[in-house]
Amino acid sequence: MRIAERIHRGTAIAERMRSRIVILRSVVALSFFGLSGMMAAQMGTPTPLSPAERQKAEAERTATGPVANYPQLVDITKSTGIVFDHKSSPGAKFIAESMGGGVALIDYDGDGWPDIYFTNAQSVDMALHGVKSRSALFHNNHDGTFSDVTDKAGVGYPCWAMGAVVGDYNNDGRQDLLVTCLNGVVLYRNNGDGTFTDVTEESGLAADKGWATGAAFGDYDNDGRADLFISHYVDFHLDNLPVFGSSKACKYLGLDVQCGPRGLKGVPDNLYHNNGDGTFTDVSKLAGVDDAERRYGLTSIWSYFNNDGKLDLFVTNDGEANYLYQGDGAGKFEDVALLAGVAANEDGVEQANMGVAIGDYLHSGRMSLAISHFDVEYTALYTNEGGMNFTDNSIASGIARGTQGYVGWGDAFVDFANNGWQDFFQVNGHVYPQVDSTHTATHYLEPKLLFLNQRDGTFQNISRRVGPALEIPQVSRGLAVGDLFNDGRLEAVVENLVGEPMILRPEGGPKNHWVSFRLEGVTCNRLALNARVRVTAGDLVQLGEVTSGGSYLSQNDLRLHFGLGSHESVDQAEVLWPDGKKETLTHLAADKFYVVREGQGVVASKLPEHSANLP
Amino acid sequence: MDQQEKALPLLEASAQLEPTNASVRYRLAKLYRKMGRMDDTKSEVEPYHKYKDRKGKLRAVYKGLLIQPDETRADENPEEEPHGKN
Repeated sequence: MRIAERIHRGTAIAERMRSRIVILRSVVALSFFGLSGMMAAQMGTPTPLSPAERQKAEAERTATGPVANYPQLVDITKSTGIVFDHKSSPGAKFIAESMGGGVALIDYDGDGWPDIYFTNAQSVDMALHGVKSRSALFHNNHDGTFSDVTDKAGVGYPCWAMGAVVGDYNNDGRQDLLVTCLNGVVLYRNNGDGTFTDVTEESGLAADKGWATGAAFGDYDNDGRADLFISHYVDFHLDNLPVFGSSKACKYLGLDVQCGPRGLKGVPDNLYHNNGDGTFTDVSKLAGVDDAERRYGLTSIWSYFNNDGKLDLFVTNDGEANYLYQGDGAGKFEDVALLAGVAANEDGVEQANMGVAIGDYLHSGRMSLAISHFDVEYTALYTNEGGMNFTDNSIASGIARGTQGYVGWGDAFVDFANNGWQDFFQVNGHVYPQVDSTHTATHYLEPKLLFLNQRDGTFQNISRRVGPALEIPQVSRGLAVGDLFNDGRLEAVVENLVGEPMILRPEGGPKNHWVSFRLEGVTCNRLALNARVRVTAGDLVQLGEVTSGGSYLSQNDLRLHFGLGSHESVDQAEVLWPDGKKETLTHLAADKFYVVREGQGVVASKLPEHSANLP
Repeated sequence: MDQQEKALPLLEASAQLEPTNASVRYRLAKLYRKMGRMDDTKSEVEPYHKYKDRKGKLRAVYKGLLIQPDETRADENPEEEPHGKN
């Protein structure tokens, strides 16, 4: 080594030693601010779980043998005839290439069978070269198969698509489709003849220009028309691309990765009031949900979190505090997330909040929240204690130990076994393909996770005990749950960022009873969004709510499905319509689909399809 | 004894011992709210935000000063030639 180089290196080393002293000082300062544990989570090392929790996690992970009285989840994608390829970039060098992949269950032809819409995304390279990617609508053939009807429907090329949700914005009884895009949204009006018309411009929604992610329809002012909330993510433009690996914000485990969301500017969220004439008006500021801090919004969902009959709104923000907007029923909202205990984790640390599931998993009559997170964190389970108080039970419930290490997205409370208790299902997949080069336990492709509800507030990880399908590693994003084959069992449709989707069907297990409701609003919004049904069957008392959006960029079946275990009938089903009306149905036979119209009770019922006709 | 009542003196003692700990402030605010002590809740929210924000700034400084792993290795073996160079 030449003398000059040695001197240069010596100076550089001295400089680094000085830096280390500064770092040590920073560490001392950070300790002073009570950061030792939390800093670890933020700096890329896992939020520590206790040795006992880690031991339990390992025991659950390595447990073998089927779960008693529980079906296997089988990958039936091939037999459905669905062929769909979500476009992605192998290197995912830009954040826009990592976030897409939503799926919506929509009964677009009103035949009572859920059809499936998959969104598709471009890569930056495709977009710069004007190459589009095709989203797809698959018609349910009622025999276990689906047919691609995208071209006839006219919904193939909305945009660089992220997610999709269902609403009926014009109250004509037909399910409309709202697609969120890298540059705004596209609203498709359902024409009722198998086709859709793009009404974005005439509806006024073309003014929405930002990177839209999780939208949700809901009638916040109870005027009988579904309004629309759209969360927005980061300011991302093809003519000003953040350079891969170019700064500290574009590194992960020492690797060059895509930049963002940290370091990029956020885009504010929007609430659009439905004017009742096919148009919407932006009321974000007036309502108090304008996201002045420009947090990185991902998923939104409407519900009555304090059971007061006034619609509230929950919004996940990536790496920042979530919003829980408490509604006053008259069009104003106040963010109460912090004191409600859902803005951050139990230590007050803001996390990478992605997807959200709501459900009454404890039969308490209240909707709790499960939020999927980044790998160094874990899925948060916020138990609703009533009065806008939630408790972070992530660790106590056993959800944390099973989800840490995965990047979670779509999630759902779902009763695959029809036993009357909602289990928890989550799909995963990392953000950075580069993690595979680290030779650590972290991989780009990840398995899916299923947690059995133990009916005492805890869950058991049974992911490896319900068949091999969940173990197939994928880069999953969207998740929608519904009874695809009208046979009284719930399927899960998973959209993957990379490649083909996966459809999971429960097979075997107990022959439990069930009941399903499709609600029709008359004076309330036609799809009865946010109507609730409280079903009592013997000792089982369950609560369901019709919701638009949620999960991650996805839309579940709008029908409410309840497992009934061994109960052969429903003693009572209390319908709580969003306009405050109540309707009580009694002595309903199990194993049937009921259509309930506001003010008229059951207007139709149907037996399930015979399983011989199904896959 | 009720869990909230058990937690309260412990958290209040923690806040006295470590007043700049945002996590303790947050937990205390949550607990006061659950107990219906709204004035106390409000008085904990302000320091929570303050120390959380300071923590964020310090974290950014810390991250900005982090030495990359390969540089660390070079430091520890100053006589060793850097990888890829003669």
